[in-house]
Amino acid sequence: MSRPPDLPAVLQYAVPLAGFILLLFLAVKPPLTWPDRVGASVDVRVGATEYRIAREELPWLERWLLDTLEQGESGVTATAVDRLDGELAKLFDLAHARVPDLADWYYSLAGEYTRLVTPLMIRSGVLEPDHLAERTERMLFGERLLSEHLGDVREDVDALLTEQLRSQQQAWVSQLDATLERMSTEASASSESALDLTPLAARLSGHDNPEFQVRIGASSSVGLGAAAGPMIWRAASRRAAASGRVAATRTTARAASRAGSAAAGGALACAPTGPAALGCALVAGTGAWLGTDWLLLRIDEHRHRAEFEAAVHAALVATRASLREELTGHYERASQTRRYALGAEIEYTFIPAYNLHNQR
Amino acid sequence: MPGLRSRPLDDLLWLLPLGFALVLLHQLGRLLADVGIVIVWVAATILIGFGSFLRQRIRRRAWLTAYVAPTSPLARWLRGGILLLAAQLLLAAALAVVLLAGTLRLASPGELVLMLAALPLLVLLRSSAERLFAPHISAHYLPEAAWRCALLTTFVLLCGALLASALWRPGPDFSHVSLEQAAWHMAAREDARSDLLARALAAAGALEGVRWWLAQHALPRLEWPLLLWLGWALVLLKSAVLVWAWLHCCAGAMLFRSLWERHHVTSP
Repeated sequence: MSRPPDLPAVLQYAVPLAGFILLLFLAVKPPLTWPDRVGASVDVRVGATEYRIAREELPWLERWLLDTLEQGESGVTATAVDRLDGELAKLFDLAHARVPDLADWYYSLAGEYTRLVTPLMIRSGVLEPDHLAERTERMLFGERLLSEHLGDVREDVDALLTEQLRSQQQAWVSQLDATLERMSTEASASSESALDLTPLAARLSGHDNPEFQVRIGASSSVGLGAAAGPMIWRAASRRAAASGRVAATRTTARAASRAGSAAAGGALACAPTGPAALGCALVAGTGAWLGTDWLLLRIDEHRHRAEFEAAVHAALVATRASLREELTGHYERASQTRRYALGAEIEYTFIPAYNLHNQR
Repeated sequence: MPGLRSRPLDDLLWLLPLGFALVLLHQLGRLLADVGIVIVWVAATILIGFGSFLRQRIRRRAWLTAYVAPTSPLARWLRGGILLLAAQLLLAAALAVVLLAGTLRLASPGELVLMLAALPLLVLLRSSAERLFAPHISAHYLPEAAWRCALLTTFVLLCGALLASALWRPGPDFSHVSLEQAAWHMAAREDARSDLLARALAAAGALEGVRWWLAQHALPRLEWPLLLWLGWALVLLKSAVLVWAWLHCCAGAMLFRSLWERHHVTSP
């Protein structure tokens, strides 16, 4: 068998080159996908029921799914925030009602001497550094710390969220069934290649999604409310100490009473000589000391109690606003994460090179 | 031999139909029925398998020439026959599946262009390697040495180009989804007329989803930059096996050409 004749030199180069150029031209054209060639109908399955809908309805169905998901999430989050507002209102209304009790203790002798002795006991390790703040918190929030109350609030709101999500899922599936029934063009025989929306419907509730449960659970907001007591105490004591001449006057008067009142009291109430004279002088002197302090406290209370109570009320309002903002943000972040997880489209925005750059 | 055309151009002309086949597969592969898919798979298996078989025989021949006496029966037993062919076809069948699924899942036309650019590069490198190695390597082993050099160099260059392309191309953001959702998201995006092909593409898609998810969740925990780069290279070089399969397909086509030419030259 003879060999084919040689092509001219130009053609020997031109033919491969032309072929390669044609190849590159065909390569950049987009490929044909199978959906471009399918029929006019699509089978959709939800649970045990199958529907056949026109193919051009699919974009509308996708938008409807996304809009319904978005509305459902917003509704559930709003309900949770409303419940949160109600629980915080109940908690802080009680605290506001107990502010006069706190003021009574603050302007009492017991309160005065507790505040004087506490720094010494803290320095010696007998009491915790935040003893006064914790005591203030317990007095305002009914012998429990605010963080303990907030634990109950979170559990209540979480339970409401779970119930709401379950109801939403049931309502969504019913609505989807009704919508597909309305769109259905003809009865559909069971098809292996049907578009199955059942897993999406099951995931919408979040009830079976442990990831979501962890996100809305208490573990993600540990330490919430722990700073409330110190904040309230600082606001109250700062206001009370703002009128510095009152404290100075009390200190001066206390010093003066050591020298004068004790002696005067002793001279007035006790015999000048005899075995009981020392004890009597001590008792009488102490009484004079306490009396002076009590009188000065009454003057201080008369002049500054209103400011003290106003400062505590303001601190409670600020604490409530801060807690509400933190908890609301927490539930909204959980909802946003859930939207990402259940969204119908995953955005193609992850560029490995940028990820590498950020790691360096 | 007098009157013969220069080999590189002959090789390129011979590879052009293979290039067209690759482009047509990429464009229309999802519309093929099961029968069409099986035919394409068998053709790719034969090209890859026979090419590997012929190269293995060249290596065996070189080894036998060096270590076994020509009169020994070992020279006949070890030269490579049905068993060697069966083993190569088995491996080629797996590579053909990767080639089929990988071609249909190329991320952009640019990747297809890079695959086609490997054709002239492979031809050029093999021709150059033969000329360079001829004074230094035994005539028995020269073809295989040239093939190894050309295949390895083209593989490294093509993989490097594909890695650079993948590094800057936006991919799916799986930062907030579970592993299962990532795998299902990638698998669900695949469709084809042929059920066989659809399943293969879905499996490939799920694997890719798992790779992306692992890369986005596990790699950021690595502290050493070198490990991080290596991790991303492993993730993005999903097409390394595809490139290997494609190059072996090209090598098979070129070796078939050599057989064809030898038959026409030696025939009366």
